[in-house]
Amino acid sequence: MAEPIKSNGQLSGYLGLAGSAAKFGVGKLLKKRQLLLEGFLGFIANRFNTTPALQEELKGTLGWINLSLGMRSDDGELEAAIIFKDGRVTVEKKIPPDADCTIIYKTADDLNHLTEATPDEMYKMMLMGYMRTEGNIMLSGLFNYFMVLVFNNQKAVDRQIEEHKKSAQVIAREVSDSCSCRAERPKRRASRIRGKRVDPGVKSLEDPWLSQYGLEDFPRLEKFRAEYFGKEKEAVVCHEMAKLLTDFHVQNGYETDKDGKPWEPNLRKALSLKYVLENRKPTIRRHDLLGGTYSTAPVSTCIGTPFTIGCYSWGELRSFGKRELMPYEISEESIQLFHKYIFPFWARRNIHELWRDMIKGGLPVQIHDRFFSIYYWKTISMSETPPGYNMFIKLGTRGMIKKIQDELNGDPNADQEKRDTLNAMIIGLQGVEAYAANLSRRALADAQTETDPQWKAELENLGRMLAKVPANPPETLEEAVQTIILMHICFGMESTDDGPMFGRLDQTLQPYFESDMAKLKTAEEKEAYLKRVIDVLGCFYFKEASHQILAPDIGNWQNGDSPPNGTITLGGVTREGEDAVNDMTYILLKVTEMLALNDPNVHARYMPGKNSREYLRRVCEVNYVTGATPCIHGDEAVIKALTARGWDLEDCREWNVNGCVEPGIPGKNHSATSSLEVNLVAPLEMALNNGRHPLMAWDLGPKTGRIEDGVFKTFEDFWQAFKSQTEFLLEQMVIGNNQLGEVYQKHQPAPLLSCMYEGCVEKGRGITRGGAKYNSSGSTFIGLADVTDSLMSIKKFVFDDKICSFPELKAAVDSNFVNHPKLHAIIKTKLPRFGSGDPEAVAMANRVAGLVHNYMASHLNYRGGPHSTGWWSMANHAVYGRVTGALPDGRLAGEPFTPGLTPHPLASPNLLDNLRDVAQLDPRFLDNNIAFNVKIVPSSSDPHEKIIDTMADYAHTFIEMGGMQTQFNVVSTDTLKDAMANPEHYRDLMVRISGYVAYFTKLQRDLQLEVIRRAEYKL
Amino acid sequence: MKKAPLVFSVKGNSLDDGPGIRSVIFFKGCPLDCVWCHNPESKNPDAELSFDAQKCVGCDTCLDTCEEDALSRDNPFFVDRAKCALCFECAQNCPSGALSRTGEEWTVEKLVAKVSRDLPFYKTSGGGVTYSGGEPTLNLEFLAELVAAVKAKGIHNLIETCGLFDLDRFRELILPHTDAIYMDLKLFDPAEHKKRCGVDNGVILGNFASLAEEAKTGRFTLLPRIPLVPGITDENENLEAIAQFLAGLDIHEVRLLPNNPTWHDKLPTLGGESPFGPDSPLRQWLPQERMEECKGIFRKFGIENM
Repeated sequence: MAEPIKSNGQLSGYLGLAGSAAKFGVGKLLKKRQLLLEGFLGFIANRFNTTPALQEELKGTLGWINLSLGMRSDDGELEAAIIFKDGRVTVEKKIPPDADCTIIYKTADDLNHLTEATPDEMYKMMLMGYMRTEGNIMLSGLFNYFMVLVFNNQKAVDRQIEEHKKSAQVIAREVSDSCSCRAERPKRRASRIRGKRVDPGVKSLEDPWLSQYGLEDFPRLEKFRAEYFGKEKEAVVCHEMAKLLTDFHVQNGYETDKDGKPWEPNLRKALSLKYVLENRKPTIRRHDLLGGTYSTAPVSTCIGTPFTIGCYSWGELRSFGKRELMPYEISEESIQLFHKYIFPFWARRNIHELWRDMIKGGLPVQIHDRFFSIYYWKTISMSETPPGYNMFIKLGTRGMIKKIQDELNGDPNADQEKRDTLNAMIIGLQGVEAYAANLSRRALADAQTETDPQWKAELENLGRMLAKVPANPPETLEEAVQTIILMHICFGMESTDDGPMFGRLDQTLQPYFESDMAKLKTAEEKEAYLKRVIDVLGCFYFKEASHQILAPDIGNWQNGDSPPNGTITLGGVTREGEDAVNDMTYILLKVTEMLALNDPNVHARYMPGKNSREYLRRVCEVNYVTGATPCIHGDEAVIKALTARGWDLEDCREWNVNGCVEPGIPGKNHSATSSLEVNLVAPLEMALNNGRHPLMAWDLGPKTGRIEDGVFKTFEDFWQAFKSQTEFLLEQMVIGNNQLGEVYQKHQPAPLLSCMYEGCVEKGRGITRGGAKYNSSGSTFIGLADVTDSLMSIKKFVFDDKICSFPELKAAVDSNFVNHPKLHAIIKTKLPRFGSGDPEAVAMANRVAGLVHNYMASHLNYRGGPHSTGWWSMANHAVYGRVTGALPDGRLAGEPFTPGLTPHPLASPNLLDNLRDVAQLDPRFLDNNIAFNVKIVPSSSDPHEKIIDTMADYAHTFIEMGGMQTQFNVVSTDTLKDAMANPEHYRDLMVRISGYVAYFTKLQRDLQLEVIRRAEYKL
Repeated sequence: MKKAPLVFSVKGNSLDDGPGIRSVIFFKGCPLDCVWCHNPESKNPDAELSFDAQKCVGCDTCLDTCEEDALSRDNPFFVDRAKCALCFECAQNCPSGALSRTGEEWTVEKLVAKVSRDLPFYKTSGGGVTYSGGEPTLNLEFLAELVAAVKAKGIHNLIETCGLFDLDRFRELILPHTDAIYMDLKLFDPAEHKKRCGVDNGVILGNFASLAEEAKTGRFTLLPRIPLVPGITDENENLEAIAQFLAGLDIHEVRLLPNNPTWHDKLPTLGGESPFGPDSPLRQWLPQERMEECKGIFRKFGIENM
C-alpha cells in the first residue's frame, strides 16, 4: 500500500493560498481557486495514475472500481470533477450529468476549512450545511477511501483528541472530591439487601433479590466481563456475513437469477440467507455455555451489513482503527474484501441508493441527506420489531416447517406470492437448522481433542443441545435460551442485526424454570441449578453484547455508542390483567445488576395495584447499583395508548419494549418502531422564517408569512403557521417511509423473521407486506420541551404580556440574543416552562403532541397500519441542537435540545414539578413512548434502603398519576466531570441517554456535556 | 389582628426536613439572633431587598427606576441600605431577578393550594408539609389557620421551631393539628445562649421538657435537633449537658445537624459580610470524624442519632 503523505502541510499549502489570495481582487481570486481545486484533484489523479500500489486499489474483484465525483460550491466559484474509470483517473472542469455523486460546499472558503478540519469540525460543517452530498452516499465514501490513501488525516484526529483531553481536564478541576466519585460505584455494589417474597408468581426463590450472590460467584461471567471492558478496540469488523452474501449473489445473480429471470424477492432473500448460514464458520467461544456467534470474532464484532448500515463505512476502512470514538479493529484481508469486492457490489444495491433511484432523488431523500430534520431509519436497518419467541419455542424449526407445509397443502387457492413467501420461510428455517447442525458438529469435534475436562463436558453438552434445538422445541430453560439466541443471530444475518427484540423474556422462560425446578429434589440441587441458570443467562447477555453496529464516525454523533438494543422487558401484567412478576423477573434483574452492561437493554413494566412495591424497589435498586438501568414504564399509560388504536386489550397487555422505549406486541405487531426520527424544532424555525430553514438556507416549507411584515396578529395566527410547517414535514415523513417500505418489499423482505408473527403464514404475506396481525410504523420527535417553551415564550411575551413585538423577538433570536441582553434575561427568568408546574405550559405541550399524533395516527403506512408517535431522541437532541439557531425560549444557537421530552434543566428546582407535568401529558399522543430523564444524586450519608425507597416513591407516584416512562440516572455531575478527564477509571460507567444506555466515556463530547448539564436533583 | 407573616420560600421535594417527601414553608422573622444562622434572610420579619451580582446583566433598568439614588455600581454591595426605602420598584423591573424581594405575602389559601399539589407524593412516601424559616410560631393565629387547613386535606404536619413561644397558646392553637415537632437545642448554658443567640434559653428548655412529657401520649412526636457549629455549639461540655438533659427526660433519639458553610455566600446579597473570616472552621463542612465523635457523646447517654 502506498505510503500516504504524512502531513497536511502540502494540502493546505494548495488551498491555504486561496485564503491569502482573497486580498488580491475577485476576478483573479475566482480563477485562482478554481485552478487550485483542479490542482488538488489533479494531484490525487496523478498519484493514482503513477503509483502501482494505488493502481491496485482500483482493481476490484468484479472489475475496475469506477467513480465519477463532482465538487462544487453553491456560490458558483468552484466546479470540477474527478473520474476514476477503468484504472485511469482524470479531472474535468465540468461535472458530468451522470456523476455518481457531488460534494457541494456553501462557499469556496468552506472547501479550505474542510481540508484542515478535525473530524468534529468536519461533522459540524456537514451538519450545519457547509458541506453536503448529492447523489450516491456510499460512493462518496469511496472517494474518502481514496483520499485516505493519499493524505493522512491522523494528525488532525490526534489534535482533536488532545484538545478534548485538555478541555476535559479544565472541566474536571471543578470536581471537589474525585476519590469519592471513584469509590461510589463499588460502594453501591458492595451492600446487598435481602428481598421479601411477596409476589404470587415467585415460586422458588427464597430471597428474590438473590442477595447471596455477587459476580465473584460466577468466574466465567467475571472473565467475560473483564474481556468485554478490557477491549482495546470497540469491535472487530468481520467480513464473514457480508462476503458470503455477496458470494451468493455473484454466483446466482441479484436482479436476475442464473437463468436471467427476475428474482422473486422472498426466495432471493431466503436462498441467500440459507447460503450464508450453511457456509458460516461455526465459531465457538471458549467457555461459552451457548452456541452461535455473529461472526468469527466472538467477543465483540461488527458484521457491517452491506445493504444498510455497513455501506456508510467505505471511507473509513483504513481510518476507523485510530479514530477518537469507537475505534474498530479490521484486518487487511477484511479491508481488501470490503473495498474490492463487497462494497462495489452493493454500491447501487443498498437501501439508500435503491430508494434514491426509485424516487429519482426526490424531496424525502434530499431532506434525509441534509441531516437536519427527518432521518429515515430504514436506510440503516429494518428497525425495531418483536418476534414471537414465546410462540416459536413451542414449535422449533421442524414444527414451524410442518405448520407452513400444512398451510400450503391446505390452501389450493393460494396465490403465487403466498406460495413463494411460505417456501421462502421454509428455506430460511432450513438455513437455521444447517447452522445449528454445523455448530453441533464443531462442538463435538472440539470436545474430542479438548484437554480441560470441564470445558470438554460443556462442549459435549453444547453439541447435544444444538443437535436438538432449535430444530425441536426446547424442553429445559437452557435449551430455551439457546433457541432464542440462535434464532436472534439468524435474524441478524437476514436483515441487519439491529432490529429484533427479546420480548417479555421473564414470561417466556418462567414455564421452563418451573418445570426444571419441579424435577429437582434437594436444596443443593436447586441451588446448583439456580447458579447454572444465572451462568447461562450471563452468557446470553454477553452474546447479545458481542455485536455492535458498524457506525461511521458521524454515527457517533447521532447515536453515540448506541448498541443494537436487544431489549428485554420485565414485569407488568398478563393478558388477563394480573400480576406477571415471577422468579425469572428477579433472576434477570440479578443478572442485569451483576453484569451492568448497556446491551441487552432492560426495561421494567410497573402496574401499581398489581405489581408489588417490593418489585418496584428491587427495580430501583438495580437502577441505583448500575446507575442507569432498567428504566421504568407505567403499564396503564402504555396500554391506554395502544388500545386507543382499536387493538385488542388482551393483546395490548402483552406489550414489550422495542429498541429504546417503544411499545410493540411480540409475535403480533410488526412495529418498526424507530422508522422516523424527526427534529420538531425544524418546522418551528421554518415558521419563524416563512418556510425557510435558516441554517440550511433552504426554502423548503410553505410560505406561511414573514414576522417582519406583521402578518401574525394573534398567537393563533402563528400557531397556524407552525402547524402548516409541521404538517408539511409530517407528510414527507409518511411519503418517504412508505417509499422505503416499498424498497424493502422488493429487496429486503424478511421471510425468516416473518415466521415469528401471527398472521404471516395464514395470509401468505411476510412482515414487509403487512402479514402480521397488527401493523404500525414508529416515529419519534425531538425537541418537544424546546418547542413548547418557545411557543409559550411567543405567546406570553409577544401576545399576552406584550413585553416586546414579534419582530423584536425575531431580531433577538436571529442575533443569538447578542444585542438583546435585557429581553434574553426576561425570557430566562419569567418564562413558564414545561416542567415548571405551569398548567398553560402543559396544555401547550399536549397541544403540540396532539397536533403531531393526530396526523401520524390518521395516515396509514405501506402495510395499512397507523404511525405511532414517540418522544425520545437517541443522541439526536445534541446533534439537532447543533444545527439549530437560537430559539424564542432563550436557548442559544448550537445548544442541545433536551433529551426525549425531558423538561429544560432550569424549568424547576423542584423535581416534582417535572414529574407532575410529564404525567399530565395525554398518553394517547405518546403511543410510541417517551424518554423522560431524571438525574438524581444520593447523598453519601444516605443508607442504601432510603435511597431506593425514595426512588420507588418517585416512580410509583409518577406512574400512578399517569406517567408513562421515566429513566433514572443515578450519578453525580462531579462523577461525570471526573470521568470526562479520567476515562480509564470509568470504563463501565453507564448513563441512559434518551432511551438507550451508553458508556459515558465513549460518548461524543457534545453529548457528554449535555448529560452533565442535565438538572441534578439531590436525594 | 396581627399582620400575616411573610414567607421567603416554599420549597418542594425536600427529603431532609422530616419523614418522606415534603414541602417546606419558610417564614420570615425569628426571635433569636444566632451568629451562625444558616438562613440569614430569615431573621428580619420584614421584606428585604436581595442583590445577586452573578445574575446581573448590566442593563441599568434599576438605576433608572430608583428614586432614592440608593443604587450604584461604585458601591461594592451595589445597594446602599441606608438610602433604600424598600419600595421594591427595582426588583419588580429587574429582568434577570438579580434584584429581588425576599419575603412575600401569601394567604393561607394560596399556601394550601401550593402544597396540596404534591399530595400524591406525600401519600406514597409518608411525607407532608414542614413549617420552618425563621420561626413559624411568631404568628400563632396565622400558623393555626394554616396547619388546620393543611391537616383537613389529610396531610402530615411537622413544625421546625427554636422553641421560644407561648406554650399555652401553642398547645391550644397548633398542637391539635401537629404530627411532629423538631425543636432545636443549641446551647445549654444560659449565658452562652444569650451571648450567641441573643436571648435566654429558659423558656425554650421549659417548653421542650413539657412537650417531651406530652409526646409520651403518642399524639405527636418530638425530636430534638442539635446544630453542630464548630467552636460554639459543638464543644463537648455543651453536648454533654444537652445529652444529660435529654436523658433526664427519657429521650433516646436526637438529630445532629453538621455545620453547612454555604450560608456565608448568602450574606453579600443582603448587603452584609460574614463575621467569620475565611480561616474560620465555620467556613468548612463539619469533618466526618468530628461528627462521629459527637454521635459518640450522645451514645454514652443512650441517645442515638437519627
